[in-house]
Amino acid sequence: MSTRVEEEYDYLFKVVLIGDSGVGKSNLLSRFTRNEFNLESKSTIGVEFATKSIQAEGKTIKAQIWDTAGQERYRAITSAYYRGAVGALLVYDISKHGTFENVERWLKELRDHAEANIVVMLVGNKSDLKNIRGVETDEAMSFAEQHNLAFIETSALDSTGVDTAFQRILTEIYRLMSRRNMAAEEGVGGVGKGQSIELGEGKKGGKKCC
Amino acid sequence: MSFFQTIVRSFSTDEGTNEGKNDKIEEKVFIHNAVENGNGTNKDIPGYCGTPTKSDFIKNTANERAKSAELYLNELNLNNAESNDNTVVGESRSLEDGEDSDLEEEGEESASTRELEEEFYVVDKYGFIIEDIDGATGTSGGSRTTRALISEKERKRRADLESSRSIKWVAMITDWQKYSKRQKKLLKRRIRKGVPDSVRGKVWNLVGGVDVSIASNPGRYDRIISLSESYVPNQDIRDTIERDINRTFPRHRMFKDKGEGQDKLRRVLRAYSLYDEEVGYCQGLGFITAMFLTYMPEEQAFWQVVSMMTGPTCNMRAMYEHGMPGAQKALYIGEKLIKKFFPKLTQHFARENCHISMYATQWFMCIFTNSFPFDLVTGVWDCFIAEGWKIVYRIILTFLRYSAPKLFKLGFEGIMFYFKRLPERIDGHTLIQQAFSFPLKQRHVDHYERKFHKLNPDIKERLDEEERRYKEAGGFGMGKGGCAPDTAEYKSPTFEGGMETEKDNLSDIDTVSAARRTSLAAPPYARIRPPAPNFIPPEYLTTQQQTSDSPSPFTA
Repeated sequence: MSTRVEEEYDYLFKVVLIGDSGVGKSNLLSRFTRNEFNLESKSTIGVEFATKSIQAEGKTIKAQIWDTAGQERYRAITSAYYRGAVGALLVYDISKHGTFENVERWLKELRDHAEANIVVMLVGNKSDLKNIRGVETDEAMSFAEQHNLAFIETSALDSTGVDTAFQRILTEIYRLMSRRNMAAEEGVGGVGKGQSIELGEGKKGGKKCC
Repeated sequence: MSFFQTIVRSFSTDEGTNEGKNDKIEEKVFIHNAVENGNGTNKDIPGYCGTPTKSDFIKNTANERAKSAELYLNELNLNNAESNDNTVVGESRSLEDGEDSDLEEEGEESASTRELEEEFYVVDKYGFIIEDIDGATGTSGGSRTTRALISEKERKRRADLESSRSIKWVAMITDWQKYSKRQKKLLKRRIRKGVPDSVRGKVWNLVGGVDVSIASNPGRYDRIISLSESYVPNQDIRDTIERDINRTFPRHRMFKDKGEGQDKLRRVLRAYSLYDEEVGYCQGLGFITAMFLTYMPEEQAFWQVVSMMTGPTCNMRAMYEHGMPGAQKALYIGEKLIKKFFPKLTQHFARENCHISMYATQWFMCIFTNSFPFDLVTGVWDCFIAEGWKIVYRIILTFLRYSAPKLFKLGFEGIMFYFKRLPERIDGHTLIQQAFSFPLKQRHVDHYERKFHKLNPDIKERLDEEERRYKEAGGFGMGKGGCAPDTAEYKSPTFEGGMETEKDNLSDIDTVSAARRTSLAAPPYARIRPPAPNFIPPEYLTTQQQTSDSPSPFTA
């Protein structure tokens, strides 16, 4: 598989991939974690999981990414996965305006179920479909600014922006966390090396007890 | 009647385990007499026999034997392009992409005028592409059978066994009333051994009461279909269906490209979404519907979906409706059963924060169809349609029984990846037989179901309310979308099922569920004898991981 279990890392971040069905969440994930794109991909039912480690500011950051089914009623199950997530990639399809219109509903979903300080990045996927673009970059960008979200356009098909998207959100989470830690260190200990944030699971040997 | 030239290749791609054999592919030309379009035989479904006769059976057996080689190298014969029955072997791909706008109109004329491209690939006996002609293999985007896990000899043995069982099954189908009423035990035993592929569609129809539904609703499916062209009560649902059409079994020869298979799937899903507007469509349903379509004609597949959704045996509707109460219940019961039978493993999972919904959601939502090899899937469905949910839990518990030693050594991620790769490691045939010997009883399931209802009174209330409504109205989908049935007195499709209830035999089930079940007509095989001890000899497997005296259905 993509990742060895015993892999060493400094930090472990849980990130969720959300957005309407068919916007390309699963292919974004497979492009990022395995550098694969599958034209014959199947609909995601429930949740799927993958990991990948990246380097950011000299630290090894391991991303634990949860890919979720896009259909609205699956939120009954998938919303449990927002808990403990420190980042969310909110994906829409640049060739389908409807998927962009639903972004607001997904944001509400995050507000209702995720941590308040979750880092959210708006991702306009399928940027290779320029000729049938339905969402202008400017429109999405101003929406992102308005809602205080990071923004990027990607194409899981031709790889454009995929690594950058994950790199940026993970780095952003790391910075936020370091800042918080620094503030915390003046008080209590803070989050230590090899421990996950808001996750009961850390590096081998450093697990929380039940 | 037409003859197809099929090249059957016997080959072995044992993923490197059989040195050198990978590239050694024996080819022999095999003239295969295609299933004739006899009386009542559906031309689109190889092996589907509407009203099977002895002669149908012989034809099907011929087909079966060809299938038993498991591998077809499909050669598209241009001469057959105009013939309708090219489904037995070939798959044609249109070079001009038929635009979806007028897919319904794309009929025989366009098929004959299509410019055809020769396409080669190897499919397994269920129609899943094992290998493209350029050698591309892979599991992604499609299920696969466990060819690599069983020996050639064993494969042949199973095929022969299936052929000989077919004879018994044809006798049973032709005298279904007798067997379903008076020989229930025999029928149950035979279903558990696995329904032969050649009669599977017909048997599922009979067990699900599909023929009765069609008889009491003549033309209704067609009316819903024509209504669906102009009536779109929910655009979201329509769009979701559309997005899933080419993401359902993309590596099955029937669904891989735009064409008849995808059109049928689209029509059946749209029809159901109108028949039952409250549920509409939920992701997961597509895989099950597609599986039905590989075994039976479109109209039958539609009523099979209706039966599976609304009937008390499968009750899949609760899985798919808003809020997914059925899925929540199944996850709860599954979790508790795992805890009951594997307390230590449960502790390990808890330490690793590994929750059942992380790995089993899709197993429940699709009843294994979307990722598992079809020898497992079809076997589970034989039993699921006839007996209900217990087999689903049994399978999961059996997975864990054989995986436990491995899982104990794995951390969170290892566990997740183990489950992800599980479908590739399973010999479904063996696993199902193991599952029947798992000591799970209906009362265990009922016990946790009651607990779930106690914890979630709102869900219970809702399900009860729906059950009431269903009974009063005589079925869902009675509104505009459902196109009211012809018969003055509507007969519920499933409760009229082809098999009788077994009220007197409800020994190990509590009164509450007994009441509920009998009120809805009990599942055909409500109670089950203790399963026979493993009758699978250990030499069934080439690759074995012995965890006990019984063979493991997993590869190492």
